[in-house]
Amino acid sequence: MPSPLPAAIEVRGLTKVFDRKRERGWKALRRAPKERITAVDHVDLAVEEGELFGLLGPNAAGKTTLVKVLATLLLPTEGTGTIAGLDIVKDADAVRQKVGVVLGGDRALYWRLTARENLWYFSQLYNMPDAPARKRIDELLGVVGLTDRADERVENYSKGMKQRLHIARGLLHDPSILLLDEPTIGLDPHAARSLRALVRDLVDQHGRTVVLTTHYMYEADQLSDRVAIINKGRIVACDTPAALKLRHAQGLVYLVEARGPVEDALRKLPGVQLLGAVPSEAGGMTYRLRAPDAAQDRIAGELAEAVQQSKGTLLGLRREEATLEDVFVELTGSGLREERGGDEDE
Amino acid sequence: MVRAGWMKNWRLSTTYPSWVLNRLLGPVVAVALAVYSYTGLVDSATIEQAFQRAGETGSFTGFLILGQTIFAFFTGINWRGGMAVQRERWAGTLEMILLAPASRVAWILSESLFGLVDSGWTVFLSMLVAAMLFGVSFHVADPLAVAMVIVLTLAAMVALGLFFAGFYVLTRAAGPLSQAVSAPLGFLSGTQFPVAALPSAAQAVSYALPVTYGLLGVRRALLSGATVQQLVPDMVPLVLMTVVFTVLGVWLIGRMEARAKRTGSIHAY
Ligand SMILES: Nc1ncnc2c1ncn2[C@@H]1O[C@H](COP(=O)(O)OP(=O)(O)OP(=O)(O)O)[C@@H](O)[C@H]1O
Ligand SMILES: [Mg+2]
Repeated sequence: MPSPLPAAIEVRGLTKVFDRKRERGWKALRRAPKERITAVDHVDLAVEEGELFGLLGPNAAGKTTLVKVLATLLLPTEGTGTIAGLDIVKDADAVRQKVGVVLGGDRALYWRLTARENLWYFSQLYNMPDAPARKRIDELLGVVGLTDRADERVENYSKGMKQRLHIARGLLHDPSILLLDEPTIGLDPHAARSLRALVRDLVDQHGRTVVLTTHYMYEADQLSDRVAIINKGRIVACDTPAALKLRHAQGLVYLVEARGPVEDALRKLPGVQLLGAVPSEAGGMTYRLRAPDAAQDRIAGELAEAVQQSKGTLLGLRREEATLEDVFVELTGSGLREERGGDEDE
Repeated sequence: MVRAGWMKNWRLSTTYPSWVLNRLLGPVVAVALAVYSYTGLVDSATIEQAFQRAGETGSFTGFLILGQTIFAFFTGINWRGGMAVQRERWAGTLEMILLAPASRVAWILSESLFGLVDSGWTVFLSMLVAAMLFGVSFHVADPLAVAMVIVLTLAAMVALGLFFAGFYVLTRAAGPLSQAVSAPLGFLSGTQFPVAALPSAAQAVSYALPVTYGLLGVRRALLSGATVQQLVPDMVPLVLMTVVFTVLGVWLIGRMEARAKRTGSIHAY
């Protein structure tokens, strides 16, 4: 069914290949053995207007590269993309006026200027007239909650404050489309939560379209209307979080907390798949396991029995909703990260 | 944009008090150094004679002071405009700037203009101090000629800054190059001696540099009382070079951005 709204972002076969030179300096002059990295690999995407679109993937998946291509900071090697109907290569200047981009980064602000001065400088690069720019800056400082500290130098800011300032900078020219690259990275759970609320608000209250990259599955799950899972430059799935879980993470997920050498026994249970294991607070391990739907009636008993038979102590047993991480494991055969998303359990 | 660049650079470069020492004392010391390296070794009559033989007129001390001051403008532009891209890259802010729709050329020009004004007032001060210290007599016949030749010289240098901005980044060695360029350029342009004293091969290079004509013209206008007409031979090359370096600069800056976007090298070198 064709969408009634025009797509805010549309990408077809988008590919970005980097040449990575191994040698630098004189050696590179003589003979540069080139290695090619396909950071973004034939990506097709369509983001609707007013949507909060999550791009979920592990390190080096190509998230930042994709955002930068859309932001006109990188030229695609292949493929096309439009933002608000404008071509990201041919109409790059117009695209820049339409999108707000937040790449974050500690250094990407002038440390020796205040927040207000930083914003004013960038407003001038967006060719904003002086008086409206100042009014807009006051407004934005309020939106991101920096009004109190606006006239302090950025060098004294915390990471969270800098990130908020980045968002304010991205919103300066009132763009209808926002690209946010890992906006909550490095923030504590509280700061991350308020930032997510701010982003959600931009979509719900102000009708913005947001594309947000993250490697926190919790963030993608809770925040996004739709999620694309990206791995090694390819989009492996794209749908609402609920639909993704329904389709790709069938089966039941159990958490078994136990002490003792129980791992082998758990692994050997028929149909059971070990998804991961992390040390638990009680001094044992928490195993994350998946069992087929058909095993629903008996699996809890079987798990408890397996622990006992291998001379372990069962500390806890709990059934859990499938997560996007389970979807990711199912689709790629590997975990998103070693430890699961730092601030998921807030 | 010019105002924005001014605010940013002013705040960035004046956050620490020690900058005052640098800016104020530096040029005066440089001029004194140039003057004494001649007058400390040879008596002034001999210098004046040699000076005349090289085809120059007017005060030799004035010649040196003007050489230093004009060259200070060049250094300001070279450092501000020429190094603009690299400086933002070092700071980590280049991507943020390129995200904005502002014209890249206008942005570099605004940085250059800050360089001009920034070095301008110290240069003015040092001229004043030096002229008083050493008793230089200026001889101006045509104020219009002075104004014209100064404006044209500055324009040519701003254009050169634009060219360097693209050139430094494309060669991937902005830092070392901008430093490497500065000293030979000062030497070949005749900041401290008449260009005529150089071997002819070196002179050929000298006359391909805008700073050379700027120095010639400004000195003639301020020291020998040259008129607009007499300055035409200096002003025509200045205009030509302004055009050539602007065109080259704009082209190189476009190339630079396109290449950086293709290879993904905006953030790092
Ligand atoms: N400018 C570049 N030059 C060469 N290779 C690059 C460049 N930028 C990215 N890459 C490579 O492209 C791949 C994807 O990188 P990218 O930064 O897009 O990943 P990411 O999903 O943002 O990862 P992270 O979660 O770590 O930020 C990596 O292998 C990276 O090394
Ligand atoms: Mg990234």
